[in-house]
Amino acid sequence: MIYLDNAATSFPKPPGVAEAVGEYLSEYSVSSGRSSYPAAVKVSKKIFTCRQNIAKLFNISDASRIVFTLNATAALNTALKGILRKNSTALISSLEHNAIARPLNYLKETKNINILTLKSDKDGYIIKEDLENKLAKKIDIVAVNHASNVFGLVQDIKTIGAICKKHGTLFMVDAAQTAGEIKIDVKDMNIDILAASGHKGLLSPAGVGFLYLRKGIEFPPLVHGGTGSNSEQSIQPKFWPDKMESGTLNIGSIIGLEKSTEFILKRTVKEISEKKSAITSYLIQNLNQIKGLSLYGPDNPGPDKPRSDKKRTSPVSFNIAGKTPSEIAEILNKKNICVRTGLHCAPMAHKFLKTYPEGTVRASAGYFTKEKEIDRLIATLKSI
Amino acid sequence: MKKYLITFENTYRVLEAEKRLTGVFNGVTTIPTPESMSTDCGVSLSLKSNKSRTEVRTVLKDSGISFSKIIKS
Ligand SMILES: Cc1ncc(COP(=O)(O)O)c(C=O)c1O
Repeated sequence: MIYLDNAATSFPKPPGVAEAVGEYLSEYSVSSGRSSYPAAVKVSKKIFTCRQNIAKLFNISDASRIVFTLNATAALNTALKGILRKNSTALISSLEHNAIARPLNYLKETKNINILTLKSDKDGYIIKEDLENKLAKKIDIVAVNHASNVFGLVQDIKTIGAICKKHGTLFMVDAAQTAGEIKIDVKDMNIDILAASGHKGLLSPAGVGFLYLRKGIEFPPLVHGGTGSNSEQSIQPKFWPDKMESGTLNIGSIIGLEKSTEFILKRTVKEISEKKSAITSYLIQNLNQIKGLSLYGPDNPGPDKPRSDKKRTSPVSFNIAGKTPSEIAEILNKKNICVRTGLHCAPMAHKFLKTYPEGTVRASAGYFTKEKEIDRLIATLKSI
Repeated sequence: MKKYLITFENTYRVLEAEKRLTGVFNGVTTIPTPESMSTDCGVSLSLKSNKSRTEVRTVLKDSGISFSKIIKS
């Protein structure tokens, strides 16, 4: 199998991740945060270390403000539904994933919130002056995806964060496509709320994500229930992370995430970033050699022109003249080359690219992708 | 040496304190919380020190540890 769908979920996982999860399942698969016997404390310690690893990766000083969720979608829902009230206003980019667009449209129906969309330039970058102008009125949250899952465009989060800070507006970043791949520093970038899933660039099994909320941001959790603490009280505890984490966690996946974040911290995000960037450049260069193939995105200028120095992440979207995305997928599937076609849960981004409603073919390399795997994709596409 | 039991609101705080206090005190380890302390979480921290309870409290406070109670055991 040639796996080029890392923007959906990463595969393979780093060495040691499957073993750590397997060892948990076969040797000490008990609950966390509730009991004091050795296996329970061991599990609690793994979860604790996982939180510490995430804190290190994103420069978060208080790891208790990191809440484990099912995935990025659950993290984004928790924040949006906790923060936005009747008639609130949310400001988003024109490239959001449905994980932001759908909860907001639900809140629009049920709570009459306003959704404002930032203007973007021809490439997709948020126009800073428009952000400044829109923040002159009361905005309850700015929610922006760090990188597009359709074509890899990376927003200038640091500048956006600084502008939000100047206006005193809450700033939430959907880092589903960048966590573990691009350096994110919540302090330096003035990020108040950060959401990501474990199973993409953080290289863990699926079923775990996290939500970080800066100290001082308090709102009710989406889910209430047992936390293993304050059990005599019939109301939810106010302390963190318990307040936001009811019910038994997905311990196996968190143990996988503990191992994968250890791997990322050792290799460093910088090294991972460089390696993914190199393999993605190789992919783009080679796609550019294919006749009738059009690439989408700011840094896809064609074979004879220099690459722009703008940062991008690994999702690369393209179409081939005379073929629909699903026809291309059918050919690639027969060779067991895995790509994703269609709208990638992000119709907004496809409307922006004018590839709506057919969508594109998306190939996304990962940290472990090799050049010879890209060569196989290219050879197959050339034969079409 | 005196033995102290320190309780916390949740397991996260217990493990944070264990990490910070290992090396600062002797015999830092997690133990089941006695029923008499049942308002707190199921795990507590046990440690040994020649210091008085007040002195231990000061060390914990200075280390930025958020705990519920210190009991001499
Ligand atoms: C930009 C973006 N946001 C949110 C998500 C949702 O992630 P998850 O499926 O892990 O909840 C994705 C993944 O598809 C994404 O690419």
